[in-house]
Amino acid sequence: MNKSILGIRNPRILYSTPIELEKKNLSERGRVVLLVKISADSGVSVSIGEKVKTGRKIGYTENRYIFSTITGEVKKISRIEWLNGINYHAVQIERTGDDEWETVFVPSDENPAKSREEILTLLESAGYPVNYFKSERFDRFIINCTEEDVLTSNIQATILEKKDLFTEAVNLAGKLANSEVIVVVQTGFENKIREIYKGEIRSIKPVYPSGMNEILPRALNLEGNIGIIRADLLINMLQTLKTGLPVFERIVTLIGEGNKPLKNILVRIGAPVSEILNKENFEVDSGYKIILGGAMRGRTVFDGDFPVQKNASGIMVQGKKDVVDLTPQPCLNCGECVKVCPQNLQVNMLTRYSEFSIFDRCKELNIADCIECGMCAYVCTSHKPIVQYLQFAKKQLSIIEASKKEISNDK
Amino acid sequence: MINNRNLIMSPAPHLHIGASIAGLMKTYLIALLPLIIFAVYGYGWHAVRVIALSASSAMLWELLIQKLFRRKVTIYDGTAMISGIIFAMLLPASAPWWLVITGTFIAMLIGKHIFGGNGAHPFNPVLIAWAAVSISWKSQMDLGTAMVNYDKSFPVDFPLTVLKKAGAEGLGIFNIDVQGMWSGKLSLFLGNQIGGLGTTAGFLIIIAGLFLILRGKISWRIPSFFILGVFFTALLFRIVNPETYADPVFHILTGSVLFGAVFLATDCASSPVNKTAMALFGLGCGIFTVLFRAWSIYPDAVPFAILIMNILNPLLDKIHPKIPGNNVNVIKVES
Ligand code: SF4
Ligand code: SF4
Repeated sequence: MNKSILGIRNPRILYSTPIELEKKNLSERGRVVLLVKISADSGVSVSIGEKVKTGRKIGYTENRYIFSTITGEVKKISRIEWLNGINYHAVQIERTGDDEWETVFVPSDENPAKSREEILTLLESAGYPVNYFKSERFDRFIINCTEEDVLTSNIQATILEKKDLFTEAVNLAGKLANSEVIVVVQTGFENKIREIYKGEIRSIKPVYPSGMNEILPRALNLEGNIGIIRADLLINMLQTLKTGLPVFERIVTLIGEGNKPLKNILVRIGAPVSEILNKENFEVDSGYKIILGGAMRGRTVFDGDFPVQKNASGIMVQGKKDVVDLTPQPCLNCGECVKVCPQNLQVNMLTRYSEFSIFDRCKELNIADCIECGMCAYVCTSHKPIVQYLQFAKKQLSIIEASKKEISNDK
Repeated sequence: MINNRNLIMSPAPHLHIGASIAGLMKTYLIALLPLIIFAVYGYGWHAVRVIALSASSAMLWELLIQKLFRRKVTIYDGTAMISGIIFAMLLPASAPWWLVITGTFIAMLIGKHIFGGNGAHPFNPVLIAWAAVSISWKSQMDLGTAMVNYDKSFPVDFPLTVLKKAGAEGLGIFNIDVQGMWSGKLSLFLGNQIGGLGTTAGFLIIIAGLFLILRGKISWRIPSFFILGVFFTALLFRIVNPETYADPVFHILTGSVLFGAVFLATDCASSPVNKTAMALFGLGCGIFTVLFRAWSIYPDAVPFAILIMNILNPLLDKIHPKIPGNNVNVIKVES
């Protein structure tokens, strides 16, 4: 961590630079648990005992398809709930042998060269979010090559791993967005990306959270309708177009005890965290924390069986010593949180209003603009779980909004 | 081995910079240490007595009050101790024991715990205590008379009392406003003056202030604008009537302006957190200080000036920066 000894400069955290990617024989990885979010329009289209190939449709939710990421047999379908109260069907598939492929559409090198509408249809059928490309007009389109979180380096590792595809992926983005494309990297990565891409590159200081999708356009002084996509998702799209296979694997960063990034590994989406950690010889005991994602925005899991999601940036294990002490203490009004908030929010007041359930004041102070970067809680002198308070207030506000709407509908 | 039982669940983020209330108070203690040493050097056991009594009684009162209110006991974090020390720094070395412990009692009860303890007090507790004891026991708190029995190499009159009684021309005894102007001020700056235990040594207070600013524990804005406020308001008075009103530098160097700017006005709970608000807050403290000094019966009125600005603090904090990026509409394509 970059902790300045002098305090004149605000506290800051730097993004990581890419570390080594370790490729293992993937077929040895045992099972996956695929999550299908339960909503008004969702369902599972396989049954227990069914044999599935990699790429087979196993369910859908809100017009998006979910695909099997290994070849095997469906062992169990259950319901689980995660932290934020969202329920999922959990489809457990156990590997029966080497991968056999089931493509969503006919794979062809021609695919990326097709017309925009055709590409969008293909991508939609493979479960990608393409609505925005259909409905929005972009003034600029950003390809975000910065990391999603601190300590992780999976995005840059993905770019380096898929070197040959990068230029083509950028062209694809330009075609889909129908606008000028800007590749944005964090300083220190320009040289590497110049080797593989010849177009315009802009760089930002590698200071968290300036690379977050929400605020990156601002760091570049852009105005108007700005579209933004992470490089890994874009590369996946291109790969799908070429192979006809939906995304089934992902590079994630392993972060070990002492908050030390160990290496990047390639995992199947849906692989249970505990299985990955077991294979990497991790020790996890009670009182430890397993975090899905990075250090600033990752979520803790209560059960090691929880699967890696398709947007996971890392898997992090914290030992007893690393776990941050969140013993509640009263807010001192020291103002550290206000100083670091990238959105200039009055975090000290928001936290108190949320703590005392005065949600309309939270709304007045623009709580909706919080991007949940976590910088405020990182610096808090009183170790308050600020982000949790903010999430709580947001959730309560949305419930209040919804009930208001219902009442006005009834009238 | 993966043991799935009793994993810790917590909200993000999973890192912490390592700051804590106790750490903050430790930094304050380090900053106060030179002032304590200077006080002990100047007044010997009298200073030790006042400072030790004040710090310990403040902690004891906090313990008792928290037990009584059935709150979590927090004397370990050092906030009470620091309040006690800062209170002692404002007292004359001759302060009687009952005045010290009454003061810390008022600070802890009326200043702090009535409002809910740490961080919830709208006024600086130390200043509440100071105001209460100096209104109640004028003669014991009057720096102009309290110290006359001490044998010092410098005049044992409180400079601001002299100013009040005799006007700027009376300041001759401090070698000010006569020839050798700077030597007189330098001597004040080096702490050769009567005042509260810790408020006299300007150079040490400035070092302490720089230390706190460099460690990021206080903002540079409040102290600097405080001093600027004092300077320009005093300058105005001086221009209008140089016989009655002392020059600005004298105002800054005497009484508790420097100490107030570094240790009193910057109290977390009762000062603003936004940049513009901090500047206005400091400026207001400075302006009121000089106004009170010129027009009220109190020779040094820094604590009152800060108390007034404490009232305005919530209002000032309404001046906050806008959320950036109104002119960009970001459309995220995320899976
Ligand atoms: S989590 Fe929200 S309130 Fe906290 S620093 Fe980030 S944007 Fe500001
Ligand atoms: S950093 Fe923590 S203690 Fe300081 S003002 Fe913000 S919430 Fe309060």
